[in-house]
Amino acid sequence: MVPKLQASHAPPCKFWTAFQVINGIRHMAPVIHGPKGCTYSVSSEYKMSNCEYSGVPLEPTSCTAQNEADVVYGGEAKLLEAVKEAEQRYHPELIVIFSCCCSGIIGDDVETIAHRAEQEVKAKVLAIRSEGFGGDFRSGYEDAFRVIMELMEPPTKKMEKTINIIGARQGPTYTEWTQDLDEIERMVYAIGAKVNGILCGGCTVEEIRRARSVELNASWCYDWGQKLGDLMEERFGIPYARTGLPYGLKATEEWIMGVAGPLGLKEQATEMVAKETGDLAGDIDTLRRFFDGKTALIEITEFPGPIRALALARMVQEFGAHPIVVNIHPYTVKERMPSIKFLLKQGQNPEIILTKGLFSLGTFRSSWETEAELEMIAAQYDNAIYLGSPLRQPGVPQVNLTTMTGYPHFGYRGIRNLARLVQSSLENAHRPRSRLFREVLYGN
Amino acid sequence: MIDLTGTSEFMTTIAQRCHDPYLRCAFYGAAQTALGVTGCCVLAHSPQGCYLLVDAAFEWQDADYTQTMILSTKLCEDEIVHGGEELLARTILEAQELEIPIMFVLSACGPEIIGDDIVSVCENISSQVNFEIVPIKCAGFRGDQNDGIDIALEAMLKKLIVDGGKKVPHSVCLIAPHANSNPTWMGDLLWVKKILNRMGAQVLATLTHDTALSEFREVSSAERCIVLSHDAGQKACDYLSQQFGIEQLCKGMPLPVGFTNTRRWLKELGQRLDAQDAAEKIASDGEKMVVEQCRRKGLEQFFMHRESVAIVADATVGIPLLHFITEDLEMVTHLLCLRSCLPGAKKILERELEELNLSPKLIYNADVYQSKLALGEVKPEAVFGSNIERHAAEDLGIPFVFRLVNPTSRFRSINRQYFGYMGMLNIIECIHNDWLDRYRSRKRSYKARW
Amino acid sequence: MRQIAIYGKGGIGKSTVASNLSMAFREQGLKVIQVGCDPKRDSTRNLTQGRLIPTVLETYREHLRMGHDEYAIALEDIVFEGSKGIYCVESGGPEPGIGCAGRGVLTAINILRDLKAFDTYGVDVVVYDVLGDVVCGGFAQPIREGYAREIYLVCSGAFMSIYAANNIAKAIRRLSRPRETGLAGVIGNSSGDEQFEKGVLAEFAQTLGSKFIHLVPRSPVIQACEVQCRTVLEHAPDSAEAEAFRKLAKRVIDNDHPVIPTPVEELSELEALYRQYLKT
Repeated sequence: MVPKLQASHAPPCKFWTAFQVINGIRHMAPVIHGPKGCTYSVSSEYKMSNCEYSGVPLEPTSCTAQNEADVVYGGEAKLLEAVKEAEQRYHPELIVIFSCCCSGIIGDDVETIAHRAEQEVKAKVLAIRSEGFGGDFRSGYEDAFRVIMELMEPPTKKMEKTINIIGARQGPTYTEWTQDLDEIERMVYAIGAKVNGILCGGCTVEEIRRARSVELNASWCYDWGQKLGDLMEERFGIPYARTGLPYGLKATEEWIMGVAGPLGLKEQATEMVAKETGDLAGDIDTLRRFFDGKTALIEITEFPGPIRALALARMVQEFGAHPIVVNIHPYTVKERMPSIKFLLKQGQNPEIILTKGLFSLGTFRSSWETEAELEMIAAQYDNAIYLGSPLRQPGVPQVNLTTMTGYPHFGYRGIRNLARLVQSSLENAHRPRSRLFREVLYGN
Repeated sequence: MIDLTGTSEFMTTIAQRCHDPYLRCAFYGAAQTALGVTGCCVLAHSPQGCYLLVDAAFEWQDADYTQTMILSTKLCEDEIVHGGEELLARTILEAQELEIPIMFVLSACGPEIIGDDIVSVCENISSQVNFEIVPIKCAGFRGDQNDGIDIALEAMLKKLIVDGGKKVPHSVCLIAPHANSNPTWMGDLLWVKKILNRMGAQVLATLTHDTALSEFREVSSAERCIVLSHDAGQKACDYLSQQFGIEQLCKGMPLPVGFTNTRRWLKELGQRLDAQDAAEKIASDGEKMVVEQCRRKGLEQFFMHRESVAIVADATVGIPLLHFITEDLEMVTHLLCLRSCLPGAKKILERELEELNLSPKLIYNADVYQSKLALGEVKPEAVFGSNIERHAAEDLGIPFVFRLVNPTSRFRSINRQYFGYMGMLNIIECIHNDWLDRYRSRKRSYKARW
Repeated sequence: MRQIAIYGKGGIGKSTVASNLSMAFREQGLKVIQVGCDPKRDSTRNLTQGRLIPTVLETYREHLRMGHDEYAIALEDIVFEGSKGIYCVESGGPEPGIGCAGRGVLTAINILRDLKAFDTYGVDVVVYDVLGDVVCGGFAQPIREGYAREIYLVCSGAFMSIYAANNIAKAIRRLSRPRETGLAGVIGNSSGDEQFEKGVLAEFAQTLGSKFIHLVPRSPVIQACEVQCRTVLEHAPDSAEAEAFRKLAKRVIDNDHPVIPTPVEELSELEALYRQYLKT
């Protein structure tokens, strides 16, 4: 049986995930060779939301507004003109052409147009064949990262003790509330290393150009970064620190050692780890007391996604709990196969429970049935706890992983935050959940 | 103060090749329309990304996920090369377990280009399922979301209307309330329904919002209809007039925003529905209420006096807003950028401009870049627009942006209308709050000691 | 590596010309791969003794069903060794009246490129045999950047085949790049009146700014070999017909001058050209 999501559940297509990556580059003007719907949607989802929370300016989005005539007669000429117009309007450093279903099916050759346009404009012009049906969730970001490699120039001289952080997308992180990416950066700087650029989390074209001059690549998100890391190692010989998400002490130490080792900063890293761990003694104690002997149900939803959930499973184990990962859909396993293989190699193979509701047709029905099953599952353990979103009301102490003030989860600040979250969970375990929320979510 | 009197430029888009859209595509507009039918299922015959557009349409209609559903065939390379009709048929059959009264099948760009015939698939399979199926060919490349609304309305009306033969006296149906950039346009719809009720008229059908399937059976029995948008819905209205002799009310009039437009609109309704007294009472009571409320709440008039403004919106909000802010709020509009506009609405606008003795710079079918460019040229003191204009205004040093139209980044638990009397208060509230909200000085801030 | 594409009206004999050309190149010791770009998947039949080899798209579909992408395809599953070690590939595509064959050809060709098929087999010549009417973008994929550089048009003495070839020349004109890709020549596949055909096709080729390469004779020998699903060079190697193909192959090898064609714009002009030779 081929794992497929049921008809009521659809992840973003190749076009969306490709755009999400490219959107993280500054002074980049996308020229989408397609109709307005795709264009406005990704702009609304990624650009506009990004400006609201991170305070960056609203960068432009444009398209060739393909209509029926363009589909029938081809739109390459229009695309070339659109790229030239984009240069005049937006003065970007980089123009990226995306193809959509319309332009992909009729065979408009966006790559050739990109080459041609580059001779006529100042900006660098790249093209991604990102028609939605032409791949899946994963191939979008893999192809996007592959394409930006064309911007990377041969190293002039090695930037010592400098790394790229790869696997990022959409743009810079939230301001004021330091996010996982900021925590990673902080740790890197704390051991005396430097970051050339975060690809592609608000990076510049210049940082991408210099990307080959670093000593090492390390990923923020293993799943999204792994392709770029592998390719840069294969093609340019840049070592890639293959470590998972830094949830908890062990994983964080592994992550930072994965960076420190190749850079010759092991000593500094060991020192930092010892200091940070020491400073967190109280929080670590809280986490141990909370997790010890418990059965931790970690549900995979929008957030945490599968890779985070598996990293969390490892973390709770470290603190003495028995993790059970709930609802990693077989389709998701297929989508995230490279990461799943990596985790298995690391020795991670937690218990998995799949609810019947996971496979039900209809998003409401699926959610409602899963909720009922979760409550039942939780009740079967003496000492279950739940980690995930407060959309669920499993009737056991639950740790809210989705509150905006709860980030980062990564690294040492992450441990502090998670300790605070579990403390809150303990203190409030006796409080009844809101009937209002329950009825809104699951009906009467 | 920029002297722009006497200059008016009608700048229509000329074959825009590099387009920064305000609007989504026809597929989205069709999805919006279909999802207005309560308890329906919308099946997107499309690759998986288009599902997210249907999701956005779902939110726009405030659909209830415990009742309304979305499915997608999630077409991949294989289905594009070899055809996706079989997958569509299988998915429709799968949906039987959902117990729905009706399914709308929407085709996207990909399957339409390769020639998947959703109409035949739906026809052939309809005998095997126990729900109504309405195919809608609404590929994104067919136009923008307003075109999509028209396409969907046509498909729905042609498939679902039953000619009852008789007319229900004093009955009305309402068209395209959702083609309105007010983020809580349902408030406008509710106001219209209340008004009609008070005038003794019965609303037989709304196309579409919270529409029951039975309403389609009633449509033909309506005596009259009203198009609640200047951007879409006129075609559906013309169809109903032609087929069932349904008369259009308030044709050629700006929608009821502001004192003059609202009174005019109510008067027309009152005359046609034989409810002049009721209309007059609604108007005079409403006007009195607005005046008293403004007095008590302290309407700040001084900063609005002859304020140079721009309006960047759709025609549904943009055109009627003109009268309100000019006559009632004493502002002077120097730029009007409309995202879209029906031909009839252009005429309405021209009359309004004449009546108000205004000649702003005009851009039809504006895209984001054009509006920013125009704002940069005209440099008004305030912009009535969306969150997009807020960013433009920050870049251009324009002090005030009143975020009336979508996308705003303001959450609303309550549906705030712009039509009618409460509508004026809502707009004034928005102006006040956004005026106060003007971006703070970065230079003058310092840290207090406590 | 030479990359050659064969275009022409449907049924004109492209596959016959292509497979015999491939065999002639092979005889000369060149490593050859023939890529059939037609959902009918019958281009390489003469090289596989009539066996219809699995198509790229079929194989891709199987992998997609298993949740894999194109990189999971093994080259041995799509590239097959035919007679005398000529590599054979069929793009495949949908059945008539459904799906999108153009997109199919485009996808199949891209898969060959992404899997680095030509490098892996170390081929010297690639021969693309493309289906009749180039009606949408996908069918032009074999002559896009990175693919075929020399394009040949196959015509007969029938006016409609010349008209179709002229039309295809418009696509070639649009996609040509100076000194890189272009129209390499016109190949005649005789329908009987050799003198007439030689005249009109030479004139036509000249009008296009190119040259007339060779006329393949109409012959029961060729037809007999077709029925046996064999190339002439294999089945009747000492025949005059086989010589004709060898000559054609030599001319193609020696011809390295693709041009940007100048197709005739007006139908009446083309008709006049044709009528000129009818009279003589």
